[in-house]
Amino acid sequence: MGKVLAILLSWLLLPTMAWAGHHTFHSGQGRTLKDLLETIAPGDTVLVHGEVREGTITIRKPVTLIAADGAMIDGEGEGDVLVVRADDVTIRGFRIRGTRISHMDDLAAISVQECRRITIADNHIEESFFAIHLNGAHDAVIEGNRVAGRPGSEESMANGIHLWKSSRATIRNNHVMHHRDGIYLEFVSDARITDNTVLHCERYGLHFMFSHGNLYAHNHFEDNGAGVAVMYSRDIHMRQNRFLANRGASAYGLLLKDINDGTIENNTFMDNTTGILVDGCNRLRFEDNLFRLNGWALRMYASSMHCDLEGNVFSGNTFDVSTNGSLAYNRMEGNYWDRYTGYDLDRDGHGDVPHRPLGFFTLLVERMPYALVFSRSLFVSLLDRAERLVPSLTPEDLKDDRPLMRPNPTAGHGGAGEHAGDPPENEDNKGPNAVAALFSPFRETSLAHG
Amino acid sequence: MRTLALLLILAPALFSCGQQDVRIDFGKAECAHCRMNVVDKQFGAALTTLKGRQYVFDDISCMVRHVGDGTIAEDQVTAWYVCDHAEPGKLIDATTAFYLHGPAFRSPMRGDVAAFSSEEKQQRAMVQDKTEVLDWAGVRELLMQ
Repeated sequence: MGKVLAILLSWLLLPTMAWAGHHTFHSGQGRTLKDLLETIAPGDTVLVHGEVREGTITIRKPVTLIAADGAMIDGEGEGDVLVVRADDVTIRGFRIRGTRISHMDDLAAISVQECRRITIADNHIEESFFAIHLNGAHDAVIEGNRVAGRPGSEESMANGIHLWKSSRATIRNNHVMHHRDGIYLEFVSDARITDNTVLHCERYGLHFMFSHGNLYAHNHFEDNGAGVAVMYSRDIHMRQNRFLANRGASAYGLLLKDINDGTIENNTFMDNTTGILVDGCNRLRFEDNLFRLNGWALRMYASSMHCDLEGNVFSGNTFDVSTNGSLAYNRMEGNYWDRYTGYDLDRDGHGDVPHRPLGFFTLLVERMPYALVFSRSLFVSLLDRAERLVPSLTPEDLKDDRPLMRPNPTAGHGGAGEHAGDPPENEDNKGPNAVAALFSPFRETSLAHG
Repeated sequence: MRTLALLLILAPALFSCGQQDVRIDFGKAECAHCRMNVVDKQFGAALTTLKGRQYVFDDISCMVRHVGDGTIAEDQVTAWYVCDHAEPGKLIDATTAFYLHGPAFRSPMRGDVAAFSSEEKQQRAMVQDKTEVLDWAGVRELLMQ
């Protein structure tokens, strides 16, 4: 039965195999890859061996380029290395290097110009100005690439993966280091950005500008100038990402500037100077995020309205919520605050008295940043307590009426980032105990101001 | 002898008073207008105010709009600076600089205006047909639209 099926299948496949020609290219044997690309038919596949040094190579027909073991394409500083100007091109498994650095042209290791259904997979792109640059590309798949700029000179590097006026891109499982922005999107819609790791980038791990209707999930952002910036966009959905160790006066885990209608769910913010900065945003939903050991967990400017906070866990942060105004028209309910000192007599899991996360000292620091030197002093904690009993400065309506008594087990990823890129199903297995265990040693010694 | 030593010690302190040189700490500074990190040395901008404060911007458009929408009052501004596009990172006087505007200049906030310290540099950077030549007044008018 199996044999018959195999024969049948091979008969079915035979015409397609005969149709698509296979070619093998060995560098240094007289013929250039450029010549070969001119002569082959659309739909053909080329297996490339050795090191190709032919300057800029332009692909003008739908072909598949596959690297044999260790195959490399070096542009030798002429300009772009590979330029794709045809639909349905696949570039897989190459080591690519040798772009020129230019302040006038956007030169890239792989430059995709105005085409559809491009696949760029499993390449290793080294020390390029732009690594992957998509201009007017639709339905592209960028997957499993390792992109590394030159350490120590990030400021003369451009972005790692750069999309401009492109739609429906899939950016998955890439690893980007040492560029200006790790992944940059401008005028991009319907992109799915999942399971990427971005480290040591000069500006942002991931950066949205004027890009609507995108999703990013399960990504890991660590030690970048700032984690992610979402600016002037709407309908951005952010799930189960990790924002770690973004430190500095202007460093944020997540910067949200003029964003409408987004969701921020199950993300982990840890060890950042500021976890999230929200400026001029409307109708955002922050749900089940974990804010742990940040300077400021969440800074919301008063220009933000109709934002919802629910099921988030705030633990061990120096400041949980901070604002420069009143934050009226925003709602917070059912979050866990490690500073909450209330009680739960009816044992429904929610505290019976409201929690006001905005302390007196938080407001003071917002007005006078240098007051920070008094942080954790006896006097400040006394003032904070006095303010809690007789509120005078803190806004009356900024409160959580149903604070959680125990941290929400589904908040964040439940981990501190050592499993970057783990599939989400692993996270689910850990269950509530993992989260509870994470918190228990810190409960007593948390960095509260009283 | 002792007074001389004292003078030597105090002199740097005295000299450091007053207006400091304007400089942008690329990579660390935050744009006063859009809050982005300032990293692009070709498009940075800065201004100083009567109080002696310095504001830095990642794009000329951010500086123009920050003053244009009244966040800093126009009469408070004592000096305007922009980065020379041809010499990345070098700050020049914005009011006397030569400008180009066009799609060839992709600035961080899409102001797409580049500044040059001389007309010669400006002419050399004119590569595309759609590039527009502007002066400071023209730049402010364009970016406030």
